Amino acid sequence: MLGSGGVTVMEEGTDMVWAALRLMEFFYHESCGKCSPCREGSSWLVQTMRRIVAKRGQMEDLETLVHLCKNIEGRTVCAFGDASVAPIMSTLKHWRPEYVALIQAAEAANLIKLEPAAARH
Amino acid sequence: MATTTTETVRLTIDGIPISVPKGTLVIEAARRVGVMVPHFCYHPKLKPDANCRMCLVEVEKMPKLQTSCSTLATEGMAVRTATTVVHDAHKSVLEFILANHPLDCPVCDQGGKCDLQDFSHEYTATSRFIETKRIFQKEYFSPLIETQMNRCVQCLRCVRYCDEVMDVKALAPVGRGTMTEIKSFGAHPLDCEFCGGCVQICPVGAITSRLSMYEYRPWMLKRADTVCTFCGDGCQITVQTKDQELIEVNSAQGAGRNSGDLCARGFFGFHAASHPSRVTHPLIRRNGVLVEATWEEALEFVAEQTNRLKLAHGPHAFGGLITGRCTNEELYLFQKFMRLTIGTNNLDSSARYGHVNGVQAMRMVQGTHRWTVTFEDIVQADVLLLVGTNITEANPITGLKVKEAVKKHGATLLTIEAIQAAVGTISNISNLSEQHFCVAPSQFGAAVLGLLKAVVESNYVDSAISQRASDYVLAVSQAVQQLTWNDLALDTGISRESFVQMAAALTGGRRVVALAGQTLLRSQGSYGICLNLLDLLLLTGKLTAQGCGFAPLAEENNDQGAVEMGAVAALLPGALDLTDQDARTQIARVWKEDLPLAAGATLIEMIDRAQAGIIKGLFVIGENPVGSLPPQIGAKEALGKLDLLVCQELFLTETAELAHVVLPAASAMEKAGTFTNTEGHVQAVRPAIDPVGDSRPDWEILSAISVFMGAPLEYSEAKEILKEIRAVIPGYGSLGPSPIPPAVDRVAVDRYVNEGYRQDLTTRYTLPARAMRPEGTVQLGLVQSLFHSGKLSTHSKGLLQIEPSGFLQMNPVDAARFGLETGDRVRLSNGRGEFTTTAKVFDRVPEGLAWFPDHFAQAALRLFDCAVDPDTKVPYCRTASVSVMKTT
Amino acid sequence: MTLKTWIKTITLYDLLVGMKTTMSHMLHYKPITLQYPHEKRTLPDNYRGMLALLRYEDGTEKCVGCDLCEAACPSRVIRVVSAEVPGEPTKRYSKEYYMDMTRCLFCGLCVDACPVDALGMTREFEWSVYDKRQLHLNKEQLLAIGDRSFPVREKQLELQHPNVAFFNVAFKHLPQKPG
Ligand code: SF4
Ligand code: SF4
Ligand code: SF4
Ligand code: SF4
Ligand code: SF4
Ligand code: SF4
Ligand code: FES
Repeated sequence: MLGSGGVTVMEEGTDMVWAALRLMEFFYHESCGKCSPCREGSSWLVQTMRRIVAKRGQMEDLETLVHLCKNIEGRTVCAFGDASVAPIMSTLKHWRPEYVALIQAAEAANLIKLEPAAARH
Repeated sequence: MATTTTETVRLTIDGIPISVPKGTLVIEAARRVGVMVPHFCYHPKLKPDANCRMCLVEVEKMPKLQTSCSTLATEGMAVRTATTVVHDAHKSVLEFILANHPLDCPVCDQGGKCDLQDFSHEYTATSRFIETKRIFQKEYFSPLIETQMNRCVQCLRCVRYCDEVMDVKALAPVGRGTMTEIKSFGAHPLDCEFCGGCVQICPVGAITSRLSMYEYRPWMLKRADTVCTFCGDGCQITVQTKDQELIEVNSAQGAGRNSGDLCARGFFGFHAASHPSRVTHPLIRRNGVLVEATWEEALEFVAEQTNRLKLAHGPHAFGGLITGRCTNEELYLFQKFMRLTIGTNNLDSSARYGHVNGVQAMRMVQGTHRWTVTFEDIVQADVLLLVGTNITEANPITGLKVKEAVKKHGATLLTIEAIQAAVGTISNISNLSEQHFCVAPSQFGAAVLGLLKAVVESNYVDSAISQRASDYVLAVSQAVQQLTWNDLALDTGISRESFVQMAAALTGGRRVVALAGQTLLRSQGSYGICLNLLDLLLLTGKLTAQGCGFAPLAEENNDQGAVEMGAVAALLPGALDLTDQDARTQIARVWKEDLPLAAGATLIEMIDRAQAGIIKGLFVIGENPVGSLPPQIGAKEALGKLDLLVCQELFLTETAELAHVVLPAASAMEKAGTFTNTEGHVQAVRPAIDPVGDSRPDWEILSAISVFMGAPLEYSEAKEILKEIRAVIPGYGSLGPSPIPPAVDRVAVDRYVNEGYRQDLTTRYTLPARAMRPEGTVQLGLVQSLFHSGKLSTHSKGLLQIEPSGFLQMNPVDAARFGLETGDRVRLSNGRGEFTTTAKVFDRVPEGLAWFPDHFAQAALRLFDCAVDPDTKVPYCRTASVSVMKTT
Repeated sequence: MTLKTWIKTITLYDLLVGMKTTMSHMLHYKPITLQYPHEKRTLPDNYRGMLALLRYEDGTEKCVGCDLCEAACPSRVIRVVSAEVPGEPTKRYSKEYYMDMTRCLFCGLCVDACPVDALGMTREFEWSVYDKRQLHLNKEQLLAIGDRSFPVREKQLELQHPNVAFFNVAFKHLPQKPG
């Protein structure tokens, strides 16, 4: 279901964004670091996901996530890169509202709003 | 084995058809049609690793994008590099690479020549990265090499270069994922060969040279392509200067005979020329002290004194010494000055310290004064025999060629070296060898004889030669039969089986190159050993075959040129005998005057004659006999007796301190000319800076002296001298991509096998005296260090960072025997004197030997004795038996 | 030709219209010449005057010696000699910094080029001298100009920006790796 040939069975009602983050953390930890897309991509994805889960996300992040996943896929040395983006890709496809909810909560709480203009150089 | 296939494949790149040899990578094919695919990890010297993913291209009929640096071009392939998909891929990979990259460009030394900068400009890459950047703790790396791991793109070029090309393996990626960081092995600052290869090959500013840190921007630098002056390999270097200041040296990928690789001396040693203690004004001795003078005063003084002495004592009261670091033009003019203006053959150069042994042996057997092989032949060889080369230290780039042959092309390496196989911080050639004989320098002769005996007794003698020259083969067979395996084993510690095995490997090779290096050429009896090595090749039929040959390695950058320019007593320009009538007429025609016939004195003979008061005046150009010969020879006293000692020098050496006149010479960074490297390749030397102070190139000084003497040898520039050289030696110095090696002269070989060999066969086929090693002593050897070259490099601040002083290097077993540890003070003594230094335990020193670097050996010289070769007059003063005692 | 045009022609009417402003000035005379140096104009907001080197709040020089201003300057005014800060390994600064103001054309390209905003254009323009060598300014002089013209200083760069946590610091001051 979530990639890498393994089947993970989860309880109904599991927070899918959190689950995707957990899987992503695993891939981030396992990435050997040989090729750039997987090495840099997995750390980027994990950091963004952590932010979203911690209710510090923003709407643009979702688009970035999709882009990053697509950019990793098919451009790495081994199949690990392809596998590593599957959790985010599939959860974003099937449980997008959960992401949106988290981000909206973040925006509502206005915990932190990274100034996009300042952050992008 | 390199399969030089002519098979080609045709493919199209962005619609442009091209045919390339089979086995070409797509990225290389693209470069040929002028399409530059962005890349980080690809480098023509390295095996593809395909880790940066920057070079993705679209290949028709392949579902995914392919990395062009690891995909081989195949027939009918259609590659597209300029589509939107490819562009997006490049852009996205660049975005990933930039994600954790610091915005360091303003303070980064790579700025302006950085691949990452260039590609970012090309793709106007912006980043959406708003997370926290990864930061590595900065660790101290080395005093010469600066790392800034935050800037690393993990392309592993440095790691791969250090392993694949250098065989040093000093660097490794540590950590995983984003936290991958390039580090040196061990918890200490980098300790390696300091070849600078990683600095040159890093596509970004992650590894930079600390020596030139923050001193420049690439666009400020002026470049001059010239040749390194530190060894006979003759690497092409690009010297970069900013306002007459030496900033950096590097070598463009593929440039010169070194194809862009350098050693520590070439890469970090360039500051010698700008050392503050350079002699910048002419000095004249007045009331016993050297005082500054003008050029006119100095030249007038020299000319006057020379004319006076010549009138009083005749031309043979003069002698001349020149260093092999001078250009061909200077060497030529020097011998012309000595032979024509002065009128004597008393002249010698630093080639006398060893290189003439190899050259004379080649002249004797194969009738050439040059290699009959090239560096390419070494790379393509399938069997390489190294005898006493100490190749990593003495001729690092030839060493790289050997490494390439072994590592890339699977050649069989056979080594007879005074070095023990051990893993160390600098590469050890014996680690790569199939069969390694570790013998002391004094027993190289025995080892070569063992090989000859094995060849004869196992019937490996080439049938052609036994038919053609049965007498010769018989004589050699009889000579080796006199030797017993038992004696050989006692001398060398090598069994009959091992000798036979090595002989078999040697005979089995198709392309066999035998290299003889400095350790051999400077140890006693080496002329005979070189002849024996040539016998070995001749007997196995390897001397005349394609791609085979004998290659003695020159130590100083232009020792080969010194021989070819006739700057040794017994040879005329073109390395022809002084008595060669044709050559004499040819030269007399150009010089419009006859040259002296009386045989000249060599280095040691000149010192003896000075001692005896026969030689009254000596011209010394860049040589330092007082500093490099043991005091037993009495060079200091002899030179002290001279009526006129003229030194043309960069620094006030021990010899120059005795001089009556010191004339400031320009270093190789400041003059034009040519150098001939060890394989006989003539290369252009170009000035990078103006002469320091009032110094002038040596040829200008010689020319000026001759003018003041009233017998002008006038030239307006170095090129004019080269023109004259060409008139004397037709075709000399055709600067080109690859030298055409002279072939073995069959007539000379016939002469040798019919007649020449008889001369000294019995003497050279006797075993060298067995080294008696009384308890408590070791054989002390003066060795070449990788980080220095002669005394010149001890003026280079970069190299002094790596090796500031000399250590006594000793095998752990010996060290334990004497109760020594690294850092202990140790006293060496023998009948001739004593010397105290610091010990260092070093795995690669063979048991029973101890090494001390030649470059710092001033005070140690008194322990050494000097024997002079009866044939080639080479002084052998590199080994001494000393007793070792720990002191405090 | 009508009478109207004839009258206009004869009285040089068009000329008068054209000269109206000039004529009116002749009548209500009010001088616009400023009695410089007793009187001074108000300078426009983005006036490009004398160049100056700036400092951070804590007094350290901003310039990191990157040589970019030197490269950007179209009239080769600037010469930077960069080096490592003594006592602060790996930190880069300009050991020497020269501006030959006789050649400056006040284009401001150097200010734009500077990645750390170490250069500023002051509103000073009274720089006429008797000896033009006095317009060859060194780093100390340029910093002094900055000090008097820009009393409000920025904070250190590395602390400003979340993503530029590492920039031109000596390695002994390296920030900790984020967990
Ligand atoms: S490595 Fe290149 S891109 Fe990175 S900071 Fe240095 S110059 Fe800039
Ligand atoms: S240090 Fe340079 S060469 Fe080595 S991996 Fe990093 S970027 Fe590549
Ligand atoms: S300088 Fe040292 S680490 Fe770098 S490539 Fe050479 S041997 Fe390896
Ligand atoms: S010392 Fe020899 S090997 Fe080293 S760079 Fe110079 S010429 Fe090349
Ligand atoms: S203002 Fe223009 S001319 Fe003046 S220093 Fe700056 S870049 Fe050069
Ligand atoms: S551009 Fe700015 S930081 Fe760089 S040298 Fe000029 S003033 Fe200094
Ligand atoms: S250059 Fe091809 S993957 Fe790096």
